[in-house]
Amino acid sequence: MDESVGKMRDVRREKSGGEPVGRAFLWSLAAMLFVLMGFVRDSPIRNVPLFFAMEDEWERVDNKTFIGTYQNLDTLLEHELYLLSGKTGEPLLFYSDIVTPVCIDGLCKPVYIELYWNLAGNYAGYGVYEELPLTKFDHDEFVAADHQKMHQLLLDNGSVLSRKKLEDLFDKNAEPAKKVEYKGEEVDAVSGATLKEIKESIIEGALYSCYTLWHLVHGEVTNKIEEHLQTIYSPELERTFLYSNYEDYHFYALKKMEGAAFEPHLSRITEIFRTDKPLIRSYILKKMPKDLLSDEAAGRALYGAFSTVDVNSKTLLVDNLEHAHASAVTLLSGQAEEMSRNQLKSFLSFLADDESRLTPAIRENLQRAAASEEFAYGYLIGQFLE
Amino acid sequence: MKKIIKTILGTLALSAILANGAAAQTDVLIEAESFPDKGGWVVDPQFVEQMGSPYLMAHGMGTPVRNAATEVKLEKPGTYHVWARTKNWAPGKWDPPGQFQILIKGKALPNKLGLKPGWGWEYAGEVSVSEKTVALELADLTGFNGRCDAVFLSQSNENPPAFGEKLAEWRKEMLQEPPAPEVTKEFDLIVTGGGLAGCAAAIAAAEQGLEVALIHDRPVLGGNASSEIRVHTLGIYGKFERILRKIDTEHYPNGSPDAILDQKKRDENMKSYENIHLFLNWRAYDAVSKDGVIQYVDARQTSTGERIRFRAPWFVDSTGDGWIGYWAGAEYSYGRESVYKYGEAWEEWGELWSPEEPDNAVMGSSILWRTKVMETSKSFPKVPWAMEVAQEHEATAGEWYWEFSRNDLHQIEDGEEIRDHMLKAIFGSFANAKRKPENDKYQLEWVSYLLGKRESRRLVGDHIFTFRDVLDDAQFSDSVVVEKREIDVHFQLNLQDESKPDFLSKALFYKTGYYYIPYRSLYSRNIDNLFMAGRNFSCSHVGLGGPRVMRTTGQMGAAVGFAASLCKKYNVNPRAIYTNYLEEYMNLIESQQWTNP
Repeated sequence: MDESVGKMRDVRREKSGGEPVGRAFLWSLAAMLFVLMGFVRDSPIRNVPLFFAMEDEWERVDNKTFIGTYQNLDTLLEHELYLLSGKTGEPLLFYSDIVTPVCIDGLCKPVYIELYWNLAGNYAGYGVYEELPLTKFDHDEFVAADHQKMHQLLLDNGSVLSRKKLEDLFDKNAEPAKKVEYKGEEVDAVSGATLKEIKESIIEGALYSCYTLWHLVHGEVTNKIEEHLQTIYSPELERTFLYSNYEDYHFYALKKMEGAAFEPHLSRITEIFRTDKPLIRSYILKKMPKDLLSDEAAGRALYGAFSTVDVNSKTLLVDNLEHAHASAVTLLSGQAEEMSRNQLKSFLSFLADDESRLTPAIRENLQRAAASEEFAYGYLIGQFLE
Repeated sequence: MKKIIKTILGTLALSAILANGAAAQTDVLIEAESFPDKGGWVVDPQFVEQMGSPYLMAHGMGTPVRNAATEVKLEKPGTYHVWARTKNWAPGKWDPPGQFQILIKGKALPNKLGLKPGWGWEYAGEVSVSEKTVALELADLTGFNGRCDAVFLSQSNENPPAFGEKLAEWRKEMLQEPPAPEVTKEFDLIVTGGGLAGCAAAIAAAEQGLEVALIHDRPVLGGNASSEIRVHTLGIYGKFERILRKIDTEHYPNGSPDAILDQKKRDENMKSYENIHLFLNWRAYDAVSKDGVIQYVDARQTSTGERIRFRAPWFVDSTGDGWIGYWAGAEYSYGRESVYKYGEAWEEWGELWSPEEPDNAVMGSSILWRTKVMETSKSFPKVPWAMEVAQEHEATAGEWYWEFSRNDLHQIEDGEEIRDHMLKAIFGSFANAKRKPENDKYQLEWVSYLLGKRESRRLVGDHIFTFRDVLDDAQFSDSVVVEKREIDVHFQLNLQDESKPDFLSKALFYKTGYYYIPYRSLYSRNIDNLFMAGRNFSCSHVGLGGPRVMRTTGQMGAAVGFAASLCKKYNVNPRAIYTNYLEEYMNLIESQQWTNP
């Protein structure tokens, strides 16, 4: 998901049409759990999310369907998960309307928040209710910068919070699960960051909310979403995923595709190869049936992108030359200067394996690369051509 | 110090090799690492297997280092052509960073060196000599890692062989090396590699009365934990707290000079064992097996070039890279297995954790570094050659996540390129940071030049330890190592986000309870008398993720040392300890349980 899409929207807060959220502060977990058990909504979502890191999916929502519940392993509370769909029933988002306690020193207060995930289970955005704003522990309301920070934190799948125990971050009186001190200063055993630095990456005064919400967004719910997605995944959805602008959708679709399924979408897949992140590019080259590389158009699309893709994908392109259409070899030879030392060595060794591969055009390309002052490994070509 | 300055004696064989037989008598090959006065140059033996020899490097962090010097004996006066075997380690459209000159009799030869990419001979110039002995120096011009493998003087102007087998053969002839080491030493146990695993193995075996040789290619013990690399030790002690406390470290920040204190402790403790025979600055270069039994390990002194053949009934490969096993023909693995091979999936992280298709995207190597804040403004040279790696990244300190791996680079075979890439990352990022006024007083305090490797060859044992063992909570009758550290596998940040520098990594932590490594993962499946301990133990890529840290590898070493003592007691090979003497072995290990008095 493109993080840059996520921007703060005008907060045109409309209250959800369903049963109002309990207004009284709930000062104990048990009381809160009781209230939450009776929490059911089934009307469409109307409260505009504060942040939404996708395109127009939220505007297209027409229906919501109860999927099941999931547990927040920290609070042990159950939360409800909904699938939001469009007019024609097309799945769009997953959604939860959350009330959860955040507690400090035995005092708890509720946090009200609407959470959105995309169909692949990745966080997509959140909304708040005007009359029930997010607050810091001193009851100050979140300001715009706090919200922005929260959104960024929730977008970060690999946040430092993922492996922290709450008491490590907060409760000075508790015995931390894994506390490492060196010369009197507590340091993060993994990153070497001080506790102070970690806290600075989180919203000041709202550490507990951050922690609770991050674990809620990235916890058991993602498994529930994945399970449900499998039950609704269809050729239509595969197409939606593959032709969407979302990398995680591409990745999901590609993972589900086997063998012959690649061919009808070859053109789109080569496009994804050119534009998506390196991890997905490499995945495509490793998984796509090798015989598809012999297709001239596919070969041109993939090998023509050589100079623009990441170094690991380049390695895989060179390593797959034996399966590629002959035109790909010429294309690559024209981009020899973009190769690493080992890629060039592999390429030259590929040429050496069969003398007929070294066509005049390729030789000319290589000579040009060898003569280039800007190319560090031209000497290898010189040795090869000798 | 015994020098290797071998003059050619004009043998017939040599005349046949050298084009100019008459001139052959005057040819002199000097290994740079053998210079008696190395000045500020350091001996780098890390890449011998790839480029042929230890070499001298001017690791001055931007300040030219003091000259290295030697004396050269010449057979007869006359005009000599002089070459250095060197390389431009950062080729491109800039002035090469690692330039140096050769001085003879205090006068610089005309050509600067370190200009051509790839290891090869560069011509320094000619000199007229009337004396039989002349002073020869290497003068560093940049402080940025110029390197010199050897210097060659000849009255002929014919280039020496540039690379490959021709060079190796020529070198042997020039140095008049007999095919085998002339000195042989015998021990009960030969441990190669003096990291935490090797040290612990040596201690355990020595305490049980074995005569142990510990061969290590650096002047100090500890490997990644040494004061030269400075990674703190992680993991738990298992049954071996007493032994491991002799060699481990405090939890200092990675790269801290406090590593030197732990170094002192380790070295003193290791030297206190009379029956541990330390061979520091000796690097093994071969191991020969016959019918699946290692006969000997050959090693070479990294400066003098002296050689020793080490014979013993049992061997420990704690080289990290699995060299002993590799040379002896042990089965080994490298790279990431398919997720399906052992069932090592962690769905949340998918391909980054374990790929559907096997590949070589292993965890990378790190170079740690530090800066300090001085009292006055400090300048740092421009480093245009570093910018293609550092790009816009700014930093005044490194950490473990300064790590480099790429699927076209082999962590062993391409080690020099990986190390050099990290040097560019460090010097470039620091130069970027120095542009800011607030960093005006920062100065590089220490940059390692030794690769801190995480993953390389893994020798295959009777049991291959995998993530599955952790998930299944597998306990074994021969569980000799216990750990509770997260399974921690790294990936390069730029796989997820292309805008990130390619030298930064991220760790994925799979939280777990205690897990156990069986003794059967600590001896070779097909080489009968070979133990292994350290990151080259028998495991999968993901299996390595947890126990690769140094207290855990230390546990492996200790377990192996005790097993070796029983091998000696019953004159059997490692496997028999599992099949025939397991109870006694496990009791011996249990008896190591140490509680702080």
